Amino acid sequence: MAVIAAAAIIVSVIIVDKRKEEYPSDTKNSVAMGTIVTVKVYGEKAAAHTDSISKMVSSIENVISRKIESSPVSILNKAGKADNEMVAALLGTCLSVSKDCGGVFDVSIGAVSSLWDFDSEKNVVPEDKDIKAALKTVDYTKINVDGSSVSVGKNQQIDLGAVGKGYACDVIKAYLKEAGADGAVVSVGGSIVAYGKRNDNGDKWRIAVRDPDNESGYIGTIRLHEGFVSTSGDYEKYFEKDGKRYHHILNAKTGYPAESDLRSVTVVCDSGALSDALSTACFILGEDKSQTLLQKYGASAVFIDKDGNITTFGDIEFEKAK
Amino acid sequence: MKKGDYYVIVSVLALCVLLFIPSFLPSGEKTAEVYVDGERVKTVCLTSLKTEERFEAAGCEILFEKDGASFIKSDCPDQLCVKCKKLKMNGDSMACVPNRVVVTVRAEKENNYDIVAY
Repeated sequence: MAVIAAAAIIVSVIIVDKRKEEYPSDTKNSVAMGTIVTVKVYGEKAAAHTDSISKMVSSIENVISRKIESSPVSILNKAGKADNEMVAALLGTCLSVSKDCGGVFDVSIGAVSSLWDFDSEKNVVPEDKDIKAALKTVDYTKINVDGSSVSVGKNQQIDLGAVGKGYACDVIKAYLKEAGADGAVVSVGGSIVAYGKRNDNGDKWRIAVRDPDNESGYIGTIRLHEGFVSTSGDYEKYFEKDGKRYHHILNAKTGYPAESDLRSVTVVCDSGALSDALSTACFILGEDKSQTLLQKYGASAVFIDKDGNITTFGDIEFEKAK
Repeated sequence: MKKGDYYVIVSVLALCVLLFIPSFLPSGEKTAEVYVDGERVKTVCLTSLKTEERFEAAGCEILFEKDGASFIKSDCPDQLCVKCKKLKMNGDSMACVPNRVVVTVRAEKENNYDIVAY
């Protein structure tokens, strides 16, 4: 009996230890694209993957940031043309969404976003005449993509700020797949990619959606096995002047912050760049007009309106926070 | 089996259960982590702090208290990190972007999600 008892105890200890080692993970936080990059990788070689992913995001920034002088996007903005596969692929996605949303989302908005300059914290409303002058350069139909070659219209300034983080998520997913990683969830400034298995039970990833009125709170959780999640809201970058809130999501048709019926929209789909572009476009369009756009791309969404009402669209598993 | 054998079996079963339970229970600990250039340079268990603690990293000074962590000084030009509220909840993070410093809070008990979309 004593032998059986000892064996049972040893087996128990081994099982408990095994459970702890079964699905190792590694988490890393870093700064890239002017924001926080959180990488959680599960499985063997998790630490090596978190390192690679953090570096990867910085290298993408070096290609698509218009604030880095040597980047292909800066070259495109100066010379009117550039040759880069990444920029061409990203512009291709953006052009498609611009066309389908009637041009309210348009990455040729660079001249207007420079006037608002939300990153600088200057908190100044630009002169209306300056906005109108800058708006003349905004027209996605003048952007041409041919293979890896891209060209833009006269004085056009490309700003990929609305889609860069989501695109980084696309590149990260491709890496995770290629590297044979078991599972990972990555946030590039709030744009999310969920990949592979969360645990051995086959549970879905749980992506919290931020409460627009409480930066530490969340209004509910999206559950999914794999996919991309992007949120656009009026709370992330904004300033208030004379009792009015000026947020960073600009309507490319007016040059002013979008007069939306929403506080935020969170989009789930099978591409990071697309989910970023769609969340921006849907925020500008408002809930009703967003539905055709989301349907076209097979995307789903969680809307939070100005009164705090939460609604969902499409095939999405969403649970409100208690 | 003798009566004593039953006692042994019950004792062994009880021990097995006790060994398993901790792996399912949340630890309840709240920790703050500081990253510089993606490398974790400091981890503080906030729950067990007796007095406040300060830490300097890459031009930033971070204050750790029982209920959270915050940037209190930075040599960065925009001072956005210093203006940020205290990080208290699981997953709360703040970066001093110019200095590439990130502070994040983890609280196992509050861990109802994997990551936050914002």
